[in-house]
Amino acid sequence: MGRSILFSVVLMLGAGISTYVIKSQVIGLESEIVSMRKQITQYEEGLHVLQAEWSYLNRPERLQALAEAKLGLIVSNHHQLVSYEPEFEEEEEMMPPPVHLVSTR
Amino acid sequence: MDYKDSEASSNLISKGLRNALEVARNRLIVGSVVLLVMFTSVILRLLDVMVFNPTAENFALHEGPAGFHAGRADIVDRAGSVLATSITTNSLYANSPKILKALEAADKILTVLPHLNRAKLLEKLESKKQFVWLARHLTPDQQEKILRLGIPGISFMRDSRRVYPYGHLVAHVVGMTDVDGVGVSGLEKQYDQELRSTKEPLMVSLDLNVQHIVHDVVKQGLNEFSATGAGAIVMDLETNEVLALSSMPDFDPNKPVIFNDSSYFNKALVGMYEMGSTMKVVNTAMVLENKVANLGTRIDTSVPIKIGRFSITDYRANHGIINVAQIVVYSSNIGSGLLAKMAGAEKQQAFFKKVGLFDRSSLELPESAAPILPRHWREANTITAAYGYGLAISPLHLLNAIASIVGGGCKKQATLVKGGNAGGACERIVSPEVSKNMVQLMRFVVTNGTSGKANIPGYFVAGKTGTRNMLINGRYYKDKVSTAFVGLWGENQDKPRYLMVLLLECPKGTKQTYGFTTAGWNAAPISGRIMSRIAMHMGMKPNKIPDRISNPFFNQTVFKKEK
Repeated sequence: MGRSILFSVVLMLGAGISTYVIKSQVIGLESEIVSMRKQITQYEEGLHVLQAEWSYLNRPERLQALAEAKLGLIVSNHHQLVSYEPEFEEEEEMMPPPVHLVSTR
Repeated sequence: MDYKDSEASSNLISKGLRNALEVARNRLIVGSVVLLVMFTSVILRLLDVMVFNPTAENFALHEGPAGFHAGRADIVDRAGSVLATSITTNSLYANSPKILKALEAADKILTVLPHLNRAKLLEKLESKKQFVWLARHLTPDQQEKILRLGIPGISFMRDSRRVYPYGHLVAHVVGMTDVDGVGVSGLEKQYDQELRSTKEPLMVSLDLNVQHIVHDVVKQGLNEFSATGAGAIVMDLETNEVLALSSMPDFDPNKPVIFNDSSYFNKALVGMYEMGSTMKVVNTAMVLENKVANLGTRIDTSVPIKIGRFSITDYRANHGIINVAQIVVYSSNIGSGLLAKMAGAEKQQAFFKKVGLFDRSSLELPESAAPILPRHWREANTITAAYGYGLAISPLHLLNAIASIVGGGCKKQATLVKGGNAGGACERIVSPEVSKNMVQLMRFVVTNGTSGKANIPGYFVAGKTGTRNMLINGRYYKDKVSTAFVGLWGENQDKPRYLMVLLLECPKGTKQTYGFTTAGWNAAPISGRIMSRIAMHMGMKPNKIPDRISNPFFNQTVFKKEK
């Protein structure tokens, strides 16, 4: 009799305490989740902006203009590509020689 | 009190006590059973939540305002470059009943956002609506300035805005969304549902570098020849993927829009043009496939064909009696017309239908258009269609038709889907032999015919030009033309890898072209530059291209070289 009362009291206490502990843990975890979600969203938004920025700065149009202006590069031309194979010789339209090499004869 | 009495009373007490204990015990049992049942159910529920169903079933409910996502998925090219993305911005709205001095507020706002219309702004501020947008997508700088004004009744809301980092470059393919992020054109409209529902970026077959090459060269070409517009498509013949699609004039999807502007019109896809001599490739393939004639069949092209009061002549030349191969290489209108007449309208129409010239132009884009066909297909239409007059098709139509003919003979349909659509069952258009012969004929057009300026030494280039007088309000103009070039190129003739179509609207003659406006002088050299740059970019190796191929017929035929 007394034992069963004691047992149910202990059970009640145990269940109550564990429920309380778990509940507070859950609340803590959930607020952590919310703040993490917020952070993820912030990072994601930042990422989108950075990606857009990166793409914008890497427009081929801009890179080409920069390469031409700052590096003195020009758009490559098939005349500049030569095969290792000896049998191939370009039949026509060689690049004209630089001005200072043109013979004056 | 005697003993008996006391015994009786103690009996009475013990009886009452026993009763009371009985009741208490019963109550206790009932109470503990009730409690036990309740706690058991609580424990069971806890077990259920924690052990058996540990997944968070309603985390979404707790998400709150922090769960805002930059909604729409990105669109990326085949290498992953971001063609369209969403960024978070702040938009300004008013709770107008809370605004005290509308006039003062409006003037203050205008100091930060001078582009707003004052009258409209005032109207909104005095509207007594609890929510009215004042300005969308402000920069952080503008937002801070507005906040500093300290006007009661106006606030900001987080908003998502679509940005297109490459602007003009891919405008026609990617399309646009409206201010609320709903796709209104291009891929944005076609894949609207998918873009909204997933976070995975949509990858398309476009190659941004190839797209840039096409855009850059065509833009220069437009200026060089003062042309009014252009459309160009580049396709991979192995996978049928579209690597570049450009239409000019173009627009910047990041700027506010005026919808009736002609620059929104995608000429490569829905612009309908008579294609001129490029159609001779389709017509000749039809003649060869139906065995109406073979490459060596000789045709007398010295007499113009008379249809009613019109007569069909050849451009600046009388070629006399020539064979079918020479008809293509010299681009003889008379010869092509006579071949079509020999085949008949039925066979011609059936072939055109098979290569898709009668269907609506379709790519994975919402824009599409039907070709413009003659109402009654008479013999005259059969003859004119042979050299590209009398039916108007889009550059995409031409691309698909030529791809089906030169790409081995199976039907090909260009696609924007990454990975392409090759590898299904072959729908035979022409035999592999005819396909090979057509490629060789187009090669002779480049080496001996009208497309010499498209040639790139060291690579295999084959093509065909086409020039037609523009039809405006039912009249053909002598001095206004549109020119087209269709070309395929690769490291060697066994495997031409890429196919392109370029269409120029109204190119003018220049000093360098001696005033000529035919395609060989404008569309061909521009295409040559495009093909050369793409070949370099794709790392194609230059090598010796033999003059003749295995078909002995070509070794016996002499093609005069065009001067």
